[in-house]
Amino acid sequence: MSSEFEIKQENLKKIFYPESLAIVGATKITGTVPNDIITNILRTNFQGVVFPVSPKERFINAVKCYKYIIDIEDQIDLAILVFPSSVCHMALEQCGQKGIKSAIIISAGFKEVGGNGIEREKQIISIAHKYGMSFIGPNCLGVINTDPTSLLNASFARKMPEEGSIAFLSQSGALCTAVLDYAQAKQIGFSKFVSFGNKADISEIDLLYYLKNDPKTKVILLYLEEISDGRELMKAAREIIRDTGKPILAIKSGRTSEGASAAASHTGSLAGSDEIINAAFEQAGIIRCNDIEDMFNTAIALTYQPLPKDNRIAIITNAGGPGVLTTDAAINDGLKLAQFSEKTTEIYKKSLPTTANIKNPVDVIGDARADRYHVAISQALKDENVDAAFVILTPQSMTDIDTIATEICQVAGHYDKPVYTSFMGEADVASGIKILQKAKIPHYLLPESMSKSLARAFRFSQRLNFKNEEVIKERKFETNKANKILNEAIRNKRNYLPEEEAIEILKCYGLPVLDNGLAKSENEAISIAENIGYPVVMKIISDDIVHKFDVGGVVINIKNKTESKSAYNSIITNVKNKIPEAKVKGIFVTKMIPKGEEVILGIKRDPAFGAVVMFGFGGIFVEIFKDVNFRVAPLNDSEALKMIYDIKSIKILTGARGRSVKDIGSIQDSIVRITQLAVDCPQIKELDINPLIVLEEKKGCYVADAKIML
Amino acid sequence: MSHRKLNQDEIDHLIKNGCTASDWQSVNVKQGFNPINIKNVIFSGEVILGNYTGNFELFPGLKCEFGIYNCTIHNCSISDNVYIKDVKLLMNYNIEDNAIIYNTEQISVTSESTFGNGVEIEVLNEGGGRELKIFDKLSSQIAYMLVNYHHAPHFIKNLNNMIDRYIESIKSKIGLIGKYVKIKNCKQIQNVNIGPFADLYSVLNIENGTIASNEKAPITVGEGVIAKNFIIQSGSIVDSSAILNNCFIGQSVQIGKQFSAENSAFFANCEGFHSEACSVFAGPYSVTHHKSTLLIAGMYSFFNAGSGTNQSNHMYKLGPVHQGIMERGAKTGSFSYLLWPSRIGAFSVVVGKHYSNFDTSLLPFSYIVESGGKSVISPAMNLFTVGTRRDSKKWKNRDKRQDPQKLDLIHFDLFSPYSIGKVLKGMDILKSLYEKADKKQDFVLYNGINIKRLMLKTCRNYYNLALKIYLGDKIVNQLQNMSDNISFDNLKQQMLSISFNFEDWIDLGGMLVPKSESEKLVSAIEMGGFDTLTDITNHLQNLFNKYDNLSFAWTLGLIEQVFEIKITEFSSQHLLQIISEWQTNSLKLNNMILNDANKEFDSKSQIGFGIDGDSEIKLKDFEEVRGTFAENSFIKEIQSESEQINKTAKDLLKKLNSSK
Amino acid sequence: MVTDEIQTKVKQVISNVLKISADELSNDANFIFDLGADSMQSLELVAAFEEEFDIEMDQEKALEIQSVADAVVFIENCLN
Repeated sequence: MSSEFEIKQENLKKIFYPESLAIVGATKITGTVPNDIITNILRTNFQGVVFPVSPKERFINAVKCYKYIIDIEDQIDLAILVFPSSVCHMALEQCGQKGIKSAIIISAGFKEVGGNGIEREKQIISIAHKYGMSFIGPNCLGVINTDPTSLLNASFARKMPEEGSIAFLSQSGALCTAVLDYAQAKQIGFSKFVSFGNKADISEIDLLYYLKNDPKTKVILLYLEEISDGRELMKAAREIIRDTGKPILAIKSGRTSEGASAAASHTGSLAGSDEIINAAFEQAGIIRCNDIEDMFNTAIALTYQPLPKDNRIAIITNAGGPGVLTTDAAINDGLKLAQFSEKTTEIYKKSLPTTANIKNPVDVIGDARADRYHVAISQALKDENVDAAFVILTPQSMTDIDTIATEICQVAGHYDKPVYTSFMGEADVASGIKILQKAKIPHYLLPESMSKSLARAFRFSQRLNFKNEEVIKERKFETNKANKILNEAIRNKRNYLPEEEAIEILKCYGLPVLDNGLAKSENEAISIAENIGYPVVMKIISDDIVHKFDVGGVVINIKNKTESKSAYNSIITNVKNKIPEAKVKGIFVTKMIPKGEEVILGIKRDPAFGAVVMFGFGGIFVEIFKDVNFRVAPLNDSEALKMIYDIKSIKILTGARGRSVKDIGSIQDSIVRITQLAVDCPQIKELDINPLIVLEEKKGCYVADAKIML
Repeated sequence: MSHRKLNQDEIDHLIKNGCTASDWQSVNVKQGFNPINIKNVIFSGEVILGNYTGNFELFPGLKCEFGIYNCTIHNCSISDNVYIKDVKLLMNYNIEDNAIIYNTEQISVTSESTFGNGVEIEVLNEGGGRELKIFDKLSSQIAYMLVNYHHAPHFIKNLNNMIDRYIESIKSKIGLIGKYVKIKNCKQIQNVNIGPFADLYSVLNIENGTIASNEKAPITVGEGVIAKNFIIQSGSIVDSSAILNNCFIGQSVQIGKQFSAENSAFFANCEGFHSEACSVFAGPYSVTHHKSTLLIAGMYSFFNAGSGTNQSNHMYKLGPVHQGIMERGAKTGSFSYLLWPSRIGAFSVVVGKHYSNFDTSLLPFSYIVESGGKSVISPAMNLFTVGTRRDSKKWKNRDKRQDPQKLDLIHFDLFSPYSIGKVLKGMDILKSLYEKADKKQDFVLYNGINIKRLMLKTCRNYYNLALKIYLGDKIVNQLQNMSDNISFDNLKQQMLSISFNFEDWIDLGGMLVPKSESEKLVSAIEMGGFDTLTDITNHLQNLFNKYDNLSFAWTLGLIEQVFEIKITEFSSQHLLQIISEWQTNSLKLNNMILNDANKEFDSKSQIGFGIDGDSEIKLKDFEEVRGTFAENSFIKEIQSESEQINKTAKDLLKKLNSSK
Repeated sequence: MVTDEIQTKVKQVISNVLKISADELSNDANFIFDLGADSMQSLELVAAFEEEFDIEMDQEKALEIQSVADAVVFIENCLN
């Protein structure tokens, strides 16, 4: 028996390659969606049979109509529903009865309108499941397949794009029409184009898996407004990239801090949804883009040109200034200026004028014509030290723009190295740009875009070439014990575990905690301190006090009995004065950690991605400096190490300005353990270890404070 | 600026730089002049030069020295820090600081010119008779009056005289290129004044015009543009091979992509791409984007043309004599066709081809479709569509005018004394038609168009809904302005202190005014009550600012009509009824709008797509994806609005009850 | 008025408005799905019911009448 996933994948084939389709709810009235759809299907020379279904028309556009879909004797592969939403369930039911497995529901008026719309959507989902059907939508623009064996424009977008290798999946119908318009102007073609609307049944994840096996698609673009199952999205992306090498680019709209809860924890307040998405996409290999132009700039690089083997670029320009700008941008983006070989230098010396600059960036100077460009580009591409070429042109009065463009296209075609171009200017260079676009040579308005695109292509190629040979370390966890403590707390309707209890949980996962004890009296405090051994730290423990320092609830570096007594009393007094109503459980006595670097580790639950781990520079100013980054849990050792090295202040840990090198390995171990804790114990809503004190190399690290929100 | 003659050293230097002059004594220079950056220039006539030291970035990374290179200059005064290179002829211009001009064939003033001011364009009637004299401070209000009030010839004459006097002050033999203007790679610019910060590139041929650019709202004229006898006001963009002949382009208008227009005026925030316009008066926010669209002999505002829209203004054997009016907010569906003369009511949608002449001015918010060869109107059906609601919100937010001096005065209210006045009349008409119709009739005929008899009552009810909402909006607003002193007594007192006249309102080129005010203005101008255009503009501005007061006053008249009382008889019961009906009907309308998502009728109004008619979203609109561009943001807005209505009604009723 | 009577009248009204033979109308025919009425015609039907049965329907509720059966139930409730 096939799984739901397999059923959907099978049904998607008929959505993209139907041999026959029915437009259910078709009408003759021009200017309406149903009529636009049938017109589009017929106009684009769909390679199959079309059956309009209309309760009152005998024919539409000279094609015979059927009153009900069940009246059609032929097999129908795909049903496109354009009836008003109030009757879609009836239409879908009949489709099911007829044995149709695939549908596109264009109609709006479902979940997106709330109220009855939500019920209508549930109804169509139920009908689809009953018959093993799959559908795209509802509330979508439709589906386009440019494959000449199909030529399906089952949408009401006016334009049918030209055939290409880029697949575009969008949650927004309105954006689709704009993207089609944009792409047409830039001569960018698509393989498949899908607006998936409410994704009540088929989601972007199903579509991604379908496109994984689509031979017509080389690059996948995704526009999302909300992510329902982030982990599945990451899994799909990882699999596609690993198995096929197809890049996935995504725009996720809504870069505001709406996801950042006003939580009690630092992690909660720092972990905005945007940061998490950045992290998740990075981990999954999805290239996150800022806007449509950014997305297409990168897409054309990945689609039309080979991936660079390394990051050494040659810049060829006919004006010095833009060459310098491009160099700056490239270095900023992590690229390098190639050092030309002696042979290249010789050839440039011989073939280029004496006033030309033959070092990288190569300035063929303002009066350069096609021949000079030819020499400069072809020799650069021949050079073993060059992995990619940027070609810049500024229109001077003698510049033969179209000829140069043609030359670039010709030269680029002979080498397996990427060539990107930037013809700077407006009207004068327009025809040259068209030549480049037609020949699928990426063109960019700005050198910065050129550089960013290549940098992304390079990082992507690195990712493809990375072989994960990591040996998984064995670690032991007391998951049952941790869950027992947590479940008990939940049973007692508690939503916060203070330090002494949080530490118990962390101990179960092998995190480095110090000897400690909870004292309920002055004498007990002294006794515990004596047992642990000085110096010690004393902290107030109360469910009503989250920021202990702020209320004078912490005393550090207690060296003897006298100080223990005094510390205990001063804490009690401070708290009584500042928060008299606080219920005090006791004083937590713990070994004092020697001085080290303070870092923060945290866990938060994201609605889309589940457990997310945070690491960064910590202490009480963590929310001011915000030098933190995020990953979706769980992480392995190499991912944890990368996470550590990705923070801005990493040099503080690796020994800057005379500071000692810190035990990064112990942080790495702690991260791996904490992510496993997050995955194993879903009761934990948020977890803060702030600070985790990191000592010198080989001396480990220690949890100095922790709290858990349930 | 004090100038002096060139000294011999300077002349020698210039000659060494390859320059020649018909008479070096006619070349004057500013103190501190340095000839170093003047090369290969031919001087003739009276020339004044400034200082040209320093450099600037022509392209990112490409630095150039200020100066004048490879040009022929005749009778020009050229201020400081300009870059003028490769200009074959620059004649009779004053060029201000920091102008950049290169690779251009000819920029000249050939004789005394008014630079497009004073050109009479034949709007609305292709055969003439409604000439509009354009000038660079023309507002849509003045234009509207000039075009439409030919029944008052003295008024037209006096107004035109004022315009002529203004134009006289602009007349000159010397043109102006303002500071920071850029002119690049252009062919011919003749008798054109170019205001500061304008950007002209690859222009083909522009002649007899004014580009009234300024720093706050610069103008762009781009590649392939051909324009003759024109005015372009601040903040506008005309590019990509647009062709304009006898045209007025207002503020923040965008024209391009081979759009061609003649004898047409486009006011604030209009857009014209791909299509054609002939004898068009396009009031604010008129938009035409599509390749096969023709707008001809019509008056439009807040208008959206579907692709392939067409009209016909010809009368058999008599030529182009007809004209049409699409009142504010009207739209046409794809490939719709209208036969002029016709008049389409406000906020109506026209779909299909119509071969009869009709006037639906008193049936606003309607759907006009073609059914079996007949033109059929469904009054009020466009009240509760997504398109209408979105349009009404979007216009104000899309006012692109950056110029602090906004010439066109625009009111945006969907429900106003203008539209609701028509609704009221529409209700009477529908009632009368229903009472007179035979039950056997499927259709009734009204002003050349058919209405389904069965819909007469329903549509009248929908109009009533709009009326109640408007009334409630006004009263609720008035109450809320009382802050902590909300009471029936206070409201009544305010009402009694206002004198009002319950009359028709008109849409004066985007500004909504009582008809009597426009008549008063016409009379005053007829009688010579205004000396200058500025006086008239100030008067209009004052009137514009009084909108809230005037519209509230009109509402009092509406109350008298609706309740059949005198305002002195207005009671707290009436007030409670207004608020309660406002709440009920507003919620009803919102729910009906949400239901509109189901409608198959108008593809443009489907919420799921957000395509609201101007479907060509430009690149800059992609930036919306950075924010919270979500299909259901509109839904959420409506739902949140409903919540707010409930809350407001509850609060008000509580306060009113407690103040008794 | 009894249900059968109402149903007959409802079918007659629909037949007049949509120009379909009343005999072809099933008791549960959906205006849009089975009879091909567009949204405008759906409103016309409601207006016709109001006229025929001399009742007033709330505008919002009227939009929910989607079939012969819906109409019969609604009208019955109004009349009772």
